[in-house]
Amino acid sequence: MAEENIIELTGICKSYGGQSILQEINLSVKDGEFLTLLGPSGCGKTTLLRMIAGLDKPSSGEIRIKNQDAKDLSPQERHVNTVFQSYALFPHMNVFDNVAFGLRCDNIPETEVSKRVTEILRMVRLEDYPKRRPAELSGGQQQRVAIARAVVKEPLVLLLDEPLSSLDYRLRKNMQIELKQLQRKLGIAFVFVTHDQEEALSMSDTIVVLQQGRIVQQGSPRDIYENPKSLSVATFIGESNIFDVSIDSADAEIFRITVENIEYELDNRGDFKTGDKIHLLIRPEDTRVYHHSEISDSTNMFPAVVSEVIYKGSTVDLIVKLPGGKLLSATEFFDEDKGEDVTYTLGESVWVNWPLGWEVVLPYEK
Amino acid sequence: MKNRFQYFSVGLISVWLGVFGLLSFLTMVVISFMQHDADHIALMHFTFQNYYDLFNPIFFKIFLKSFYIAGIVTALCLILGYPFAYIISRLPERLQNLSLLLLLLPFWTSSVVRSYAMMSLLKTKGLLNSVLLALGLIHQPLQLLFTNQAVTIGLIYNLLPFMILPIYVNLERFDRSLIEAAKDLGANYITAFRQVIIPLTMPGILGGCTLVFLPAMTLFYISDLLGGAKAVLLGNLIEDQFLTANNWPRGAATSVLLTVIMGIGLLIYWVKSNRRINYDSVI
Repeated sequence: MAEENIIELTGICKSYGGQSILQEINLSVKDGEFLTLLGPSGCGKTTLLRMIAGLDKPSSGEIRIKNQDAKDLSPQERHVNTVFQSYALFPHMNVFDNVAFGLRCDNIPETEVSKRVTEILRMVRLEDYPKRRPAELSGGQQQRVAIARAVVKEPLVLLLDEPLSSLDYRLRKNMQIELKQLQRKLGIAFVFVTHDQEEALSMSDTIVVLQQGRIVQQGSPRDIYENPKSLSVATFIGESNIFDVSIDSADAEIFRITVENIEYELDNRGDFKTGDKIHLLIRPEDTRVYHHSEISDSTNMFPAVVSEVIYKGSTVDLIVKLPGGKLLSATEFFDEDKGEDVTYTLGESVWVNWPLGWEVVLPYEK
Repeated sequence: MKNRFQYFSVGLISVWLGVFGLLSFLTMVVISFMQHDADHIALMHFTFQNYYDLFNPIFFKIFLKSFYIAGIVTALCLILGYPFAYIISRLPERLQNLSLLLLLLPFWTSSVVRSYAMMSLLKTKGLLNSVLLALGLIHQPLQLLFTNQAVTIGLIYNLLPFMILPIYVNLERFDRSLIEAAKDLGANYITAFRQVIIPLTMPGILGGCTLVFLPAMTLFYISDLLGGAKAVLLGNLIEDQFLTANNWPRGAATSVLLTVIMGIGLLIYWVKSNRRINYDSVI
């Protein structure tokens, strides 16, 4: 696939009435890519999407669509289509007319309109309801009409503004898979806005994390999850156990720290110096909990007491208390092959560690 | 407590409408089937004569003329009122309230008084003619007063708010993302307006038209004051029959006929809109 940038944003800033919404956004969207703008509400992700669609103008900076400056392009000239959060289906038109609306605006002959609409309705499995009105459809069906209406125009990029947020959990899961499949089938780039980190991780090729109007990190889902660049990204995406410690001694290869009275020697991947303060992050699923009977050598292990057991079906989530009072969460997977015993009782004394090297080390913030 | 208040207020309005709306209308219906008598309101004698009398070419002409003038007034109110309502609905909230206040301010004065004021504006040596003469735009005063045009102007002036308000209410809660969606899908402003905004504000448009059309045929004092003897509207006809000719049964028959015609119009709209517009999704 051609790694061509379909959309390029350079130095985009936006402010409303003296309040800065977006600052210095640089972003490019490749052809055929599923890119997710992820951030808490109010971080400016919807504004960014609206600027690509042409519904808002940046205060400064440049938007290029297919190497053309989009400054003077109206929404209808951009070959970019949007699936709105509220779907914005035309309530007075039936499904067919809703989907045909965009094609008829382009004065495409009615025979071709009919052919393309029928085809796209089949693709989103709505071929049986062309005469229904939006109000007569379920939430998931309305959602699919909104998608069909946008993709029937064969846009360069499809913009989706939190399209799944009003669906219930199960439907949302199904739609995530359907959207991903649709994107592969169409081969066009999707720019997807969400505040749901799980959604972002499971669907995207690239995740762009926005916080307070700035891009704080950009990368593949795996990269973002495993190597967060800042504490805010790490805590926004997934859960973490965080230790704030100082480095006892460091050289180019390794550094030594003391966590809960236990000394650790870790790879120095961040060019840290002696005396630097750091955050040590360990994901719950990397936090290992052992019964006393399983352990003969407890070097590098925290003693802890089980204070909460949450059975989740496929996993058991534990909260354990360290001697100093700090609480850690740990997710244990049922692994029948290893015959590990994941039955824990409240108040049980356990050993806790993590596979060295799986930790994330970040420079101290705050 | 709240419930009792609800019952009370709804009950009061129902009784009011029942007595002064429904009951008086039913009285008219009954009288319209009774016989005319010079010495009494009507004689208790069932007859179709009053309705039969209405098939007189003179009445027919007045009917047609009233429909014509009311139609023009309604059309002009719509053309003037829709953009007005649209602009108000796009203003910041504070300015919206101010505009609505200004719109309704003239209602603090009786509309009869305002029609007299209109007379002094339109008369041969009135303000309008003086200004036009002074500006040299005309060389002799225009004959405005006591013409159909004067009646049309007076009716538009009095009825415009009744067109603006329902459309404004409709536009004010209009989901703007629909316009954005239309633009996003390639519609220019005219297409978006014609295919999205107009159809979805149709309830407001038709509401406004109803509120303008009916009074435009029946506001008799406006055509009395501004139209003189030349402009006889249905309202004047009904007024004449009750007050001058003292023929209550025929006046009643005229009123009932008018109500029936308007009722049929509303019925057609209601039946059509039930099939066409889904109100739950519009509102």
